[in-house]
Amino acid sequence: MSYSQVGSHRSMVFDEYRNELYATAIRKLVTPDSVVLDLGAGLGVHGLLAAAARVKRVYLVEPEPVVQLAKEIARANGLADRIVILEGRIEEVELPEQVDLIISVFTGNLLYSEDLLPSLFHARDRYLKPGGHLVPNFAELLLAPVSAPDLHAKHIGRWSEPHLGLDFSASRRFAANEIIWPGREELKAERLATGVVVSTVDMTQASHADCRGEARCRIETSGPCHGLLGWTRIRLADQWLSTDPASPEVHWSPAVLPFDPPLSLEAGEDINISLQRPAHGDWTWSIKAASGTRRHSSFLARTDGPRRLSKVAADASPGLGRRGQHALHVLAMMQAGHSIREIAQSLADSDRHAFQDFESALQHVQALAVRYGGNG
Amino acid sequence: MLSQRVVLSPDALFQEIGGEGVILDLKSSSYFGLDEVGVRLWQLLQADPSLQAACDTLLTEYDVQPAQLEQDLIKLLEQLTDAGLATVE
Repeated sequence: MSYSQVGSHRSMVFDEYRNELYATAIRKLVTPDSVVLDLGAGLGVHGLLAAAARVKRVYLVEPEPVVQLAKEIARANGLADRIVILEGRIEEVELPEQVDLIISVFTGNLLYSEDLLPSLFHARDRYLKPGGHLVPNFAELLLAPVSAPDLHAKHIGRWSEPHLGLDFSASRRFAANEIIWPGREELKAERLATGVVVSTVDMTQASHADCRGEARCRIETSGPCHGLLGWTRIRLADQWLSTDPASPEVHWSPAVLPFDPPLSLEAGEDINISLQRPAHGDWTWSIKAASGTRRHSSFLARTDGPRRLSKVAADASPGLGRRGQHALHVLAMMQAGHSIREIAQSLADSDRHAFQDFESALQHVQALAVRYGGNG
Repeated sequence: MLSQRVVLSPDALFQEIGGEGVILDLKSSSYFGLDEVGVRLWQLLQADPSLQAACDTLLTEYDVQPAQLEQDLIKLLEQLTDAGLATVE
């Protein structure tokens, strides 16, 4: 998801339940002398709540320029004197002092899914004072086997039904390995067992964000198991915030890790479930029950696997494709100090087939300039 | 060599599309690419661990000399075993 638009922050800023719990935790942990870091601040909602709690200073660190809007919001709320905005990734910016509290919302819908936790660990190791606090400071990922026939039929079974007189069933094995993110209204799932913790992160000590968890649970209700419902709990000072769809509504979607075909579970039996994901990698989940075993992976949902691998495998030497050559051409000219117009003209001249007019070359150069250009 | 059995790692996930394949090793979280013949070999070994049987089938499917195929298979198996994706018994 891109966080560069205000609209993408709406669900987070107006997630009242979540933000009230954050506000309560912040108020509990700060004093008038506290220096606070709001990491991945977005529009700065949590940092502004800290500033409103009358702390000494709040640093809002956010890579997206949308954070600049927080200046105006801070001014409108009489908090501008306590807010310092640092646009950039925490690994790139420089805080001039250590902080007493780091606030973050880096746990994603399925704890690890946004791959932001390493940035939190970096911030903690570099900027948190001894005895300082983290909000959240602990997180758990839970799974529960569920019966969800409608969801399964809609996302997986449907691929096996003829559509417009065509057979799309070759797609089913890919669909069956995709994590489903249904809205709460779409999620009609009966839990066959109480959720179990499969992975935890102690933010105060963790140094890696690999998920490798296993758990055993006892089936309480017999039925066909269509997948595992997944959710996250995070500890905010002394309170827990859960994305469990049975808990008060939050902006995070529930996640369902499907099984195909479904397997039958009997009340009283013990099953084993596992979940793993290396940082930035694929999710793999499995179940072992009396009626059988299933193992799925988002790796098996990817249709770009072989092609992508041929470029990214550690021993690959992929060279530069056509688009890479264009980018190299543009970046070299940018570094040499040419204007956008000059570069676009040169690019268009260099490959008339790819760029049929100056305008299309110009757009290409502008996109690269936004991403890689200097001047701040 | 051909009389041996090849046991594929239970930690290997295999994905094939359009004749190309990739293996994800769940233990090391690393990826391993397979060309068309590699894909076919993996599929055959999934069904039957006999390397001889796989070689016999491949000889019927590809226009290749037995000595050349054997040499290619041995090389590929070395790569798979080095990567921990298969063991030869």
